[in-house]
Amino acid sequence: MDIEKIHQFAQNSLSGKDEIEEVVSWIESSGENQKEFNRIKNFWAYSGFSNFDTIMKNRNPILPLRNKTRYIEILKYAAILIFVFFIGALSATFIIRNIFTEELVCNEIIVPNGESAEIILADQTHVWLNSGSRLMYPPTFQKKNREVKLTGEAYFEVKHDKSRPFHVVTPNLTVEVLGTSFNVEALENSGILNVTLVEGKVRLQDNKNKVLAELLPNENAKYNVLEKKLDISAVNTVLYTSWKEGIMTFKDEKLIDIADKLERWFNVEVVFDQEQVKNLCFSGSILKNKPIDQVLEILKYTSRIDYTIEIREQQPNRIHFKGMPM
Amino acid sequence: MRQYSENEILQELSAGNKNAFEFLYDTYQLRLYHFAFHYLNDEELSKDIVQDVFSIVWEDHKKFEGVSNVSSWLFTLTKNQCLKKIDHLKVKQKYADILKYRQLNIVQDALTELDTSPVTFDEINTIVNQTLSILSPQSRQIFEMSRFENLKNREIAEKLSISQKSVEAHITKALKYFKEALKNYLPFVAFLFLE
Repeated sequence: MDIEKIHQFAQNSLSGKDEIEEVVSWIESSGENQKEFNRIKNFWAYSGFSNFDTIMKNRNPILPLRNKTRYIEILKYAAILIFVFFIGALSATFIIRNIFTEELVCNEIIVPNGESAEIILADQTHVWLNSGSRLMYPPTFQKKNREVKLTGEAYFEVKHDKSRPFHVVTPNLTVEVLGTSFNVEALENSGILNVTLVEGKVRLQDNKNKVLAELLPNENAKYNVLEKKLDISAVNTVLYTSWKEGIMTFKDEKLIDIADKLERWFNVEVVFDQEQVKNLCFSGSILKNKPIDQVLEILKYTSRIDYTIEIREQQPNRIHFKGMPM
Repeated sequence: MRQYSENEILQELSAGNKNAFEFLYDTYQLRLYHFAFHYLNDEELSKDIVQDVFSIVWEDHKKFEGVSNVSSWLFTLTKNQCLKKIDHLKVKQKYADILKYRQLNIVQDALTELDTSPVTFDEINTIVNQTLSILSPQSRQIFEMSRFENLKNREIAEKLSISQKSVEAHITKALKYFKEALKNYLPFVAFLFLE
């Protein structure tokens, strides 16, 4: 008797009538054979025996059985689409890896400097990630809650779901959402966190879940991490969100702050050879997918600064800014 | 959803707490479904069995007072419901489909032999747990998805955004460990789940 066939029969995966009859006859032919089959059949059940505490410890989000359509829907959502588009001629890879926390598996997408990414989460929430950002998200969300972790800058278009609030957790502040579009800028080494709401409603909470404020459309909240101070003002949201269309928009922005963005978006290092140029202000829009020297040329022609590019191997190129002689 | 300890869930259930019941349902329904399906090989019947088991649990919730191991108790209930169902099916198939009847007979023999006592449950739970802890987190996750959520390899691959090939590799590896671990406990060397 082919042992493989007995296994298949025990797994309910033998389909040919003749084959089934063959196996059944073999099992019936002796008490010994029936015992052998019992062991094979029952192994499956035994290896699934888990005590309550074990199940609790390893609890995975388990799919419901009652509603078949819902089951299929969840599987559909589980297919996470990751769209990555490359900016400029740089070739770089995104590192997507699975990080296993205590309870459930989590995906992480890391967008290096000079790149950006666009992803759709399991609940159809759309996320644009700006350069130098990192987002952790589960392959599927839990029933009662949707939570992602962000460092860096991202624009969210959250799929509306009243029963499952969406949380964007940053190291210092959590944004709670029901269904809306907004931008979060939580840069790792910056003491300022920026949340800009385009439409809908979001709630800001500190790490202890204390509600700090609710934002209305076209409002921007600046959170000073050190002083724990929150400033809310009405803004033109385009300034904060146009990056996702590949446009950098500035309004009276100091060169030192622009330099910070250039560093992330073009993967360069900016050095000021002269202190005073740091505070020069610029307004305007720049297409992000242009090479950096074109961007720098624009800055040069519209003000009194000059620059040089220092090409470096295996390190980001360095941009030197200095004032132009009068 | 609220989390319960084993003692808490037993206490709350014997008191007739509806939330505790829902929690129990969410936690076990799929496991019990796959268990029933393994022996009955019929989706509808297996769903019925699970519903029956939970009706018994809800109606006789006072009986929880004497229970010590929730899992052992639920699997025992399911096993008994399946055996009853097999008896009924045998009557129906005896003259209709003799091959089905013979199959039911041998499966009934296997299921009757299955030991769902709390002692066995504890022992096997320990072995399964130890084996799971040797696995890499990803192998473990994939194995549990395959075993407890009964997802197809392709579905797991989609869920975790990895290739189907690596899902297969993880499962094969996990099974190797299980084979080794359960070898001394269960006196056989072959195993299932090879695709």
